[in-house]
Amino acid sequence: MVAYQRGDLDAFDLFYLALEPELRGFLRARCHDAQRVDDLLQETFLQIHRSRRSYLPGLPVRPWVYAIAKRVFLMYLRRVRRHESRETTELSSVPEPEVPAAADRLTDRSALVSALRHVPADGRRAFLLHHWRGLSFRDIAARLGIAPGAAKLRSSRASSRLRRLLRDDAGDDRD
Amino acid sequence: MTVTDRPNATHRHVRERVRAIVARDLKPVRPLLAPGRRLLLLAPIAIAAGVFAPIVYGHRDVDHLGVFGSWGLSAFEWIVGLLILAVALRHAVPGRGVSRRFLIATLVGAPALILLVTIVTYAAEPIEVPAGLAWRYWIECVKWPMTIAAPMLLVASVLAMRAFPTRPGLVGALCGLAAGVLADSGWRLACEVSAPSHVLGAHGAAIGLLAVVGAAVASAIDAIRRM
Repeated sequence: MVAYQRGDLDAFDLFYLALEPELRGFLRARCHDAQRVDDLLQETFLQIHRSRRSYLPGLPVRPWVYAIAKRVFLMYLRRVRRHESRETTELSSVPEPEVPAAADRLTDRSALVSALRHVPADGRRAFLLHHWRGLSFRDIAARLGIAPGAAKLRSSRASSRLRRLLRDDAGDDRD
Repeated sequence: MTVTDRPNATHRHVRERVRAIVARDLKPVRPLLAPGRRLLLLAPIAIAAGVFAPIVYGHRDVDHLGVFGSWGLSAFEWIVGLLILAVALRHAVPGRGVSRRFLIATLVGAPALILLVTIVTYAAEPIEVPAGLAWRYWIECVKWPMTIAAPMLLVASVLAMRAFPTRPGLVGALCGLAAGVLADSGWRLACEVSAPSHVLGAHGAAIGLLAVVGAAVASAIDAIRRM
């Protein structure tokens, strides 16, 4: 950790490798969605990076790291709770979305809304803000208080999940 | 890719993303000083906050209160203020937070101390607010302690926030509380009134307001930092 504070990237790699499995376990115990765990893990390491000067050399690293991970998780919970009610309202007013031609046969509005409900809240929000509201990932990031990369990732994952759900749904209908 | 490979690929993807961001931004940083040493840095401002009012505005008649009732109690209050500041600086460092019980004791102990000092002072030298001037005295005794405590609050908040506290609002409130108690340790000697209704209502309000301002400042710094 001291070498990492001195600016050694290899030291960061070692630090990451040593702590990633247990931090992942820590976050997974609190949040059962693998995608969110990835996002939270990334956010935790970035927060650790930003606040690396606050680690006091000579003291154990783990209490410092876990305190940051816990804070990241609590901030995430607070954000989710804040957006949850607003999101429910937004979902109920989803208009006929513009879906690619290949998926036209699937565009039963209720099926889409129902599928959207099965997409994790974080991803759904990023997806809707981008594909429905037309916001850029930079704007979405600013709005959700996350990095633009994380916004893009969430939207992309939501999109894949939605595609899979709609495909499954269409498969069920054909059966 | 098999199903079992997928989590590893995702983990690697997360790692690469984090590494890329860290590599872009990685530069040497100097670790923060330990909370005790940061407290020492703040000691001169704390001394100034404690002695400013008695020196500039004059102080009570020591003959009536005695050395213990005047400077003695003020010194005690000042030390408690410094200890609250130490708690704030320590609690600011992630992973070094004090226990919930200790925090509650600090948050309850500070008002209890003010109450005790007020009772002892009033018992030794009961002085009421002059008739018709209660509001004016109230304003003076809220305004000046807050003004005297402001530099202390600002520097303490900045020092505490540099540690990236996990509970910024609480740390800020503790900084405000400490600044308030430190300023009151001197202001109680400068204020000529010892009636509990005035001391608790005005001096206590100043300390409470400083705690609220401290929490707001720290939360604002935290929010700006996360933008």
